[in-house]
Amino acid sequence: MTASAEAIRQARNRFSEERDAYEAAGEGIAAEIALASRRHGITCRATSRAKSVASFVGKCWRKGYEAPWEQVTDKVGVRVICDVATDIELLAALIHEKYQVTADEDKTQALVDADKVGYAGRHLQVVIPGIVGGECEIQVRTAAMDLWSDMSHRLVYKPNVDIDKATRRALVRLQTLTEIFDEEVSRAMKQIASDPANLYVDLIGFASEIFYRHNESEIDSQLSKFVLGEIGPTIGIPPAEYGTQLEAFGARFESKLSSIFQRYQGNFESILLHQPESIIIFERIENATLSIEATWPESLPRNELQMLANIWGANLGD
Amino acid sequence: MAQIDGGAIEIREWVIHDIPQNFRHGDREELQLSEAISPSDPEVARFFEQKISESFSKSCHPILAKDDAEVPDDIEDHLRGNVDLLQLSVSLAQRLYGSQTAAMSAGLLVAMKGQYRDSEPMLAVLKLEKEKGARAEQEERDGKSTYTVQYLKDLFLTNRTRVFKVGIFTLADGALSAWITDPQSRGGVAQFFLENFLQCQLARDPRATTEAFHASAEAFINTEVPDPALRARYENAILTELHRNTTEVNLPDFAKGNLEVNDRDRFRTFMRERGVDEVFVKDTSDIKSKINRIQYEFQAGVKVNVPTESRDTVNITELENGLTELRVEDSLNKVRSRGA
Repeated sequence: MTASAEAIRQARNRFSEERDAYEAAGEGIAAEIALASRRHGITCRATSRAKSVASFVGKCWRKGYEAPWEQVTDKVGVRVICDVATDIELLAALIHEKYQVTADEDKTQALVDADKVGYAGRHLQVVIPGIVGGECEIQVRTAAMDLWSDMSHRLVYKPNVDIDKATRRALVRLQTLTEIFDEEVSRAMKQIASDPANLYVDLIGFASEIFYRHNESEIDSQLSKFVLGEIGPTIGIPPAEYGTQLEAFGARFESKLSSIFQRYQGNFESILLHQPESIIIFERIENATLSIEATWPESLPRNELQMLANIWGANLGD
Repeated sequence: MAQIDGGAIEIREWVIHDIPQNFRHGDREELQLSEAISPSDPEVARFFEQKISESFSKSCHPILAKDDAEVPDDIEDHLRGNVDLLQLSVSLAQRLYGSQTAAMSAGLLVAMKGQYRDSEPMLAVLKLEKEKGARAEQEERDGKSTYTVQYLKDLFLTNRTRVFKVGIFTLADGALSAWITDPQSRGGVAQFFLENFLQCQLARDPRATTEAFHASAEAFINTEVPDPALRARYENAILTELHRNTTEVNLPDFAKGNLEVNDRDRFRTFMRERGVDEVFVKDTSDIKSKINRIQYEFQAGVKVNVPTESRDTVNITELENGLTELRVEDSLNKVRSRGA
């Protein structure tokens, strides 16, 4: 089958007209994934890009599509770059949960199966809500995979370029290096997480998940780490177990939290209210009022606790 | 009636009226009331909410309308949308001015409209006194930096204000609910504000709430505190609280002042589960005989009765073998036999 110039012309015209809508949809999906990943405590960056019209047409000719509109499935793409390779699986699960996924491929495995050099992430094809027949490709990868991908597209998969055996061998070594890079990053992250000094970092993830349901504020993660490093030891419940307790609290007081964050949007009298740790402080104020009052660290301003207690409507006692 | 949740109060608009001192036998100042709702300011609204919440967290009493009372009826009419906020506030201001005595200081009446728990219409009525203060402002004088100080005589509701009374009325499922706070008195509720002005009365009988506190607090000690020395100390604290010359009991204050840190929230939860109010007006008349003596009862049937005023002569210790030692240090007066 060969591409028909008329079909490509029609597809190109349609894409020119609808490209803005695809671009907007891509931005929306990137923002949704970024928000959802923050709620799940996954560190990543999500960006989007609609294909250029020239690239759209070029692909149609190169691939010889006979139904170009339907066959070009990456009219808009979202790229999600995470810190740790193990987060790819979590992000893929999150995307499956949020969108209708029509295809899901582990690209590294696909390259291995095709006997090609490569180190890629996961490619998922999802349906774009609101655009009839619209789909979006979401690529999930680590920074190292991204680096490899950029380089390989410029060198390895360059059209009409044959690579000799020695160069191919050099590329395999490079690929191995990027894989080692990711493994070392994962190992270092595990090491950091197991350090007692970072024991309470997980709490930020639990709190963020609830916080971002009600708030879009940019947070100061260093402040969160400091505050939870101070409050964490006073909670007296193992972090993982406390996460479940916090989730139950978030569900029980969903409406109250929503009302408070809505009312105090733009009111920065309390600094901690605009940080995810406010969720933990509210939970403590609700369930362990007199304990948090007695154990509030001296390193944190006491008027912040009093203000949050007033906002929550709790009696800390005189 | 449940305790009010101060964190679920949302203030939307308000009217403020100046209420001068009412000299019945002298010159009577003309009442000059506001003619419009105050300009809305979200920052001010949040400040009011926090002050009201703080106040209710320290002193909160459910109240009911007295028979044939007009004020609660007017407020209910407003909450049902039949009377606007300005109209209601004017009638409240006139009533307050007309009913207060010369002994009462001048102040401000604030009527605030809002909602409670996201959906229930709510009205808050605040009576505040004006305060004095100073404000320092940095400025340049002759090219040099200095501070000018301005003396302010018309401040109200500052961060440290404690002199104010608040009544809150909500309409939930078609019925009027109301609460009052009066942290100023720290010993009950100002009768004038509650009964003469708002025409309401306490919903709970102080004798019953005090009895419930006593019974539940002792149940906590006997079921939740294994250490005998701690039990004795807590029992003493309960009796001291009930004998103290105050007319209000505040559970968090009591817990903070008398219980170990680990027991404070457990105590509070225990009391809440048994329906004991966090703050209540104290009246020990129904339990007078119970709180005059402490009885220690041992497994072998030994009972020791100690008059409350002599409780310092008794010392309780937990021994290493798990048994409890009760020691009385006093002069023995007499010994006598007694039937079962």
